[in-house]
Amino acid sequence: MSRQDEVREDLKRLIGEILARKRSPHKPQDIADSTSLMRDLGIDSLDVLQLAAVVEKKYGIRFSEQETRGLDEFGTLASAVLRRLDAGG
Amino acid sequence: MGARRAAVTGLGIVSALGSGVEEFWSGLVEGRSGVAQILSFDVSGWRTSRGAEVKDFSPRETGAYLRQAAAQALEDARLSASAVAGPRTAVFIGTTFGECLGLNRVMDEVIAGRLPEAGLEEAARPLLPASLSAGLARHLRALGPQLTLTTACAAGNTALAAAQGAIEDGRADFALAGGVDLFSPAIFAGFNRLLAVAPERCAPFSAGRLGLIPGEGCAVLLLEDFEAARRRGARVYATLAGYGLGCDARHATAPDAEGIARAIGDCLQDAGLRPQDVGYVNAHGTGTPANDKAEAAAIGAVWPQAASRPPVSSIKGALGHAMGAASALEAAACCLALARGVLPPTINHVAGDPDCALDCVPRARQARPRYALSNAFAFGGGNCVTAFAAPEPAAAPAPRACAGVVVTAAVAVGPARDPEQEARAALPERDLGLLDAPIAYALSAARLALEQAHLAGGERTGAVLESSGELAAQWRFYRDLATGGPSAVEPAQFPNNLANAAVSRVCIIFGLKLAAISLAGAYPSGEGAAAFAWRLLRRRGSGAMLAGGVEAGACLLVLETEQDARSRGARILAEFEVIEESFAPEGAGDSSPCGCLAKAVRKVEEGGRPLDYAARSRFGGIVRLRLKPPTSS
Repeated sequence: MSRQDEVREDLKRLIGEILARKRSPHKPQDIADSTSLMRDLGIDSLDVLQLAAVVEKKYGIRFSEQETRGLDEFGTLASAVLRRLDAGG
Repeated sequence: MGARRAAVTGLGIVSALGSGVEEFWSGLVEGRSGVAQILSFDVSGWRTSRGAEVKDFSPRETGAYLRQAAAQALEDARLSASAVAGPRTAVFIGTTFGECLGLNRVMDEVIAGRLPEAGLEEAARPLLPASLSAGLARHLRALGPQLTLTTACAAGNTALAAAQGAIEDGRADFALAGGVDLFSPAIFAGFNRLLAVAPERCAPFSAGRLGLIPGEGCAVLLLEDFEAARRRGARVYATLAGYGLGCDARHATAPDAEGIARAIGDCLQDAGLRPQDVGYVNAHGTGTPANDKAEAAAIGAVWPQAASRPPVSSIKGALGHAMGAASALEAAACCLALARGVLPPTINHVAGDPDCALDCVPRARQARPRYALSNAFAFGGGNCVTAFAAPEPAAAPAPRACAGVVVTAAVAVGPARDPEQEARAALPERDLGLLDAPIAYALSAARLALEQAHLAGGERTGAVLESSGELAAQWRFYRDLATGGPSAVEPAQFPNNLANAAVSRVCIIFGLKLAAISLAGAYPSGEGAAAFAWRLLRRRGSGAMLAGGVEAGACLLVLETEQDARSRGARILAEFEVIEESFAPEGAGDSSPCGCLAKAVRKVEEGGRPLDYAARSRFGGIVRLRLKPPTSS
């Protein structure tokens, strides 16, 4: 599995934990790049902030405030993480 | 003779605009801002660095702010210290974080290895929120009812609501009511991690607003009976005409327009006002995109015609968000607006936002409103709105009804080895969120109590819980910050730091919308909360309240007006009455285990004989209750 795919799978797993906690019918394997975390999966803004914080801690990266505010589509999240990892955190 | 009503005759202020009424008011009216670079701690490495600090005051201690503001309020009311000493003076103080800086210093000792972690709880005990009202009462030798209200950012208004009750029903001649909070690195970290903080300025209701600015301060109002104030020749700023409560019961941090509109409606009803009577609204207006939009929508729902909407201003552009002190400072601003005929402006308002279609008073304005509302909304959705009336000699209101109150459930849970696991097992189908022990106990007990009373959620049921602070959550949050820096703290942890976390979660999970009140009484079984619920239900004449305490376990009653309980055919366990609430600073606290109040109710139900019941808080508060077997209808 490429590093890109590994990161994506890992992010889906973290989102899956939120969905499980929320007793959501959505499954992590259904998530596509265009999936909106809030609109399609019903994850609220506090959950998204928390997800961003957990991802930051896990990968040792730090999103800018603008990036954090813009996190909603799964593809945006994945590419933000990959971009930060490429830039060395 | 008409009913008693609560007049405001003294104001005391410690704020980012300065101390004392005149500095505060001239700063507001002239549109000055108290926002500046934060100096009380190092902000390098943070996303933002500005706050509304109190600049001319030391020490930075919550208790010191309170004593200063109380002394000012007494002087302003032309009352001597001896006039308020004794059993006829009440003290009600609202706070979000209490003595947070002192608490953090104790935590620093643990981090530095000078205090074992197991010793944290005991070392923190004198600094718990309940120490605020008790400390001020002891300082003033005020021996009447006293409580610290911890309904987060609505705490100041909740304290005023409690004080109004004490004056109106004749339990007190004088009441000191207010709010206090200081901001700390942990609080700054919390709001920052929620992306709620604006980098430069707070611009309420303005297009492009970026968030709140953390603030701090203290306001104490002196209340007394209107006629008594007139007789002693006191200057009356305004009367407190009523208050409204409501709970969104939706989300830990996001505000909700429907819940806010309900609290405003409740306030109008309590004060006997129609929407068109209101000439000014002092908004919660934090400057976050979400708050201001929801608040404007709620105001739009109460006053649907734009032309009939009263002017609305927020003073948070000048003072920042002073949390538990905010609504006390705003109450003082409402009193001054009514007394002096000037509406304080919403500063930093640069451009209108179509989502906030309000006349938000960009510059101070001459006006003579007869009634003003003051909005306050807390994290977790607990809202409290107060109504103030201009001090004209209007006809005294009719006395309020006093409904009989009964107990329809009494439960105790814990202590448990794993309270979190027990709560999750008991409520498997719900998203309970992040649980700490007090929240878990509260949820487990609330489920049992609502089942026992056969009561569902909704607008007729609320909750009032006593909790001694969320020390474990605060410790975790502070340790992460102190050892890992601002980016190490998790945003979802922050709401669990607030003392209203347990009651908010109970209301969200069970859909309780009547009220979400948290208080720090430090009674063994939440007797302070039970007494609070009793007064609230008597005044409202209908409804039901989950009431009790969370400690190492939880003890909850369902209190309900007798009429409501009978009309829905509920099983009545006991009749419930509060005989006395007072304060005796000397002597040790009650060591009864959590749960003794539920046991007492059971004893009355089974034994068929009345029981007088007394509880003493660790901080000197006393509550006496009378439980009687139900009379058959």
